[in-house]
Amino acid sequence: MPGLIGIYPFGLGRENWRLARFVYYGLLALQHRGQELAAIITYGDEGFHKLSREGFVDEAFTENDLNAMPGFIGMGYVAPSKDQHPVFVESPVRMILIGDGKPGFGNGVQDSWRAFGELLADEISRVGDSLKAARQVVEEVDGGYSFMALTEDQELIAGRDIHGVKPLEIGSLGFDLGAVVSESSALDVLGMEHIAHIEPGEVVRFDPYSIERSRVKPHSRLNMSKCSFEYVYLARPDSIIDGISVYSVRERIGMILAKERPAEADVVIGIPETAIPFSLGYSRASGIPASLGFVTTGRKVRTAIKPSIFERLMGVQLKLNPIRCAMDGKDIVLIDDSVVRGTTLRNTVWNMKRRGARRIHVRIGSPAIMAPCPYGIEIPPPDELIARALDEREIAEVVGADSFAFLSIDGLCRAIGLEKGELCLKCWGCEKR
Amino acid sequence: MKVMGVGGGSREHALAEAIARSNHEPKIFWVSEDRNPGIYRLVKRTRGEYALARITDPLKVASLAEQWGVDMVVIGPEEPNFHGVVDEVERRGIPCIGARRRLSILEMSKAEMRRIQWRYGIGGKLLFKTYRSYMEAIRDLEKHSELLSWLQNVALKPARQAGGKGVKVIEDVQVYLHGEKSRFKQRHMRWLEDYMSGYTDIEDKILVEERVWGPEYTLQCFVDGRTVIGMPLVQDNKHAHEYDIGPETGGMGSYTGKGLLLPFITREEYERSLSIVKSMIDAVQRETDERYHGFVAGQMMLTEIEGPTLIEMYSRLGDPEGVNVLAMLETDIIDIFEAIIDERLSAVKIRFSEGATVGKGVGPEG
Repeated sequence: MPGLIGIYPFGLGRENWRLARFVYYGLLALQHRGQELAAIITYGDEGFHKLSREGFVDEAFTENDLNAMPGFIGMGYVAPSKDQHPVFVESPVRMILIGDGKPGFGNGVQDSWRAFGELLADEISRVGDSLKAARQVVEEVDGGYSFMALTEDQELIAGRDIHGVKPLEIGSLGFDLGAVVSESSALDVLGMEHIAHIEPGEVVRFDPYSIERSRVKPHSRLNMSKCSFEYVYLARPDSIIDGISVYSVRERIGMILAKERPAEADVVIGIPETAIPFSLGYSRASGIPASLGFVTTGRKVRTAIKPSIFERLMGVQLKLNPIRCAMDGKDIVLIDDSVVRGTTLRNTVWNMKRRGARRIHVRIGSPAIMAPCPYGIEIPPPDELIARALDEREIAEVVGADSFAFLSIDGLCRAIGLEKGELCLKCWGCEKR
Repeated sequence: MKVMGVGGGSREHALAEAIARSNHEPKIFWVSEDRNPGIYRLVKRTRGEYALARITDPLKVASLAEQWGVDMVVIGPEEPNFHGVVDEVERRGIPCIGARRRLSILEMSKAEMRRIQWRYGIGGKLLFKTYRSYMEAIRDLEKHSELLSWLQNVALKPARQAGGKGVKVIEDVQVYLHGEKSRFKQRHMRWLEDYMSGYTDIEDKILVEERVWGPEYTLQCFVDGRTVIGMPLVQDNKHAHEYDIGPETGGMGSYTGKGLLLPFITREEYERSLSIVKSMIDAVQRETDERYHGFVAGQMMLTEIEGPTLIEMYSRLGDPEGVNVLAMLETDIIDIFEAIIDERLSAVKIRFSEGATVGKGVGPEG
């Protein structure tokens, strides 16, 4: 689930731009997609410039880094693992490749991207026309991925797999800059206009004189496989993916959840930050007032993707300080975005009961996670997934809640507004075809 | 009737086509710098003559008109106007459809156009500043460094009409990107100064105007010195690339709607746009004490605050927008030209066909 950004200048005097700082702020907006590694890549008169660092974007790069970094074409990358680096291909075409998801080569994520980069470079050198070459690669390589490559010929090539698993959006600033990003919120932060999304199976090439698009002959609409996890959990709520507002999906999820799994309660509380829109939707549909139940200490950390139990719990305890008067003596509908192992949820429920919560009805704004993601989203091994071993009643007991319920898969599809056949639902254990 | 045209682009080809459609049995004469094959065919068909010459050379163009004994001359592009070709042709007693040198200042100097607009209190204005050098501009920007000054959200332009290139629109709203954007502005202003160094006919080099938002459209008109008659609006697709990204170009294509209006413009907004253009013509005639005979166009933007706003003016038909309106013109163009010459345009009923038109530009890479 890395975050990608590419910014490309057009017009007379295009070399006068210095884009490292633009990339930096774009990456800040994409920080939630990867917190372990960050990279800024630019291209200027002297060729490529690269900065790749571990950790959060605002800690990884200093003012001095940004001031010293030349280059009028910019590309940026955040990754959820220290092992997922930008891929540098030396020959036959020199280029730097970044990607989200996983191309369908059998091996690990990083190896798959390396293989993808080498194939792309070979095809460009063989075919000559990089746009045609990239389209062929997308046609041949299965999997679920979005990619962006910057070549030494000053071409920025971006594309999505034919099923459209991972998002890519297009934006612009004035007449001068074009941009491709994983999420539209990065465009907002840069003051850019959000124009369109790249279609599944489409590749787009920016070069100094043109923008060109080419698309693999589209599958039928029902052969799409857009990542539903993006809408539920991964993306920022202020993003628009493939023309669908993430916030509105999350609000609808809450409303559908209230209809599917009603509960008697005094207040609805969402676990920050992802589950807040769910709780607002649940409150609206059920008529139960919503309250703010927690305040976060420290920066936003994605606890579910932290490597060890210890780190996850530390993250959760810092992240979720309960507000006593919001829960003391009350029956509560507690809404979370997903349940993976149940450890953090149990900790939260226990904490709330200690602060005086009476009954806690846990509602989850997504279906049960049943299977690993074939496209590289880090989900624990199957034997650690709580929903594979226990049913809802048993989970309620384990986490110490008075009731527990997931959103249904149908409910999820309705909330997104796409047919089952247009979505990837593999992590919910729903295989189509 | 012998009609002579000047200029060799697609707009001039469309002019020649319109002239060839006339009932006055025109013989078409033409001069341009490169031979336009479409115009050449029309010249041959009507048994006129075609010459290649520098069309910004008033003596050369006027001599050809004299030599061929034409009844009138029609100017296509702007540069002959700027160079006084119309003045010289008229001096020799040949009527000319085109703006005289001093009148064409409306187009040649974007700065002067704006000054006239402010001096006469004409609507659809923008805040602006002009500079003779980039150093002057930078010093001024430093004086007004507050982020909320309009000088932070600007269009940077060459102060003279320079082929429609070199315009940058810089919106500087995010404080955290302010450093990079003001740096880019400075570099671009230095670039503009270099770019403009080839033009010695104007003192101002750099024009800075407040940034405005809205759909753009072109209002082209016939002018006879007393009456200004508007044509159907045209929208020009300026951006070079897919997704409407990329620099503004001389024009990649254009379209008209059905009738005078475009889908986003009301009748009242059309009338206001026309009254702005009329007022500008009145103003420049008063400034120069000369009569404007020919074409004029307002490149307009429908902004949220002001409504119709004047972005720049042409002392000619737009290119490609001229092609759209000429294709729709049903009235005999030579009747219109004669009315312009005699200043009795108000008595002519000018008709355009009701259908919509689309023009598409194609160009080589680079």
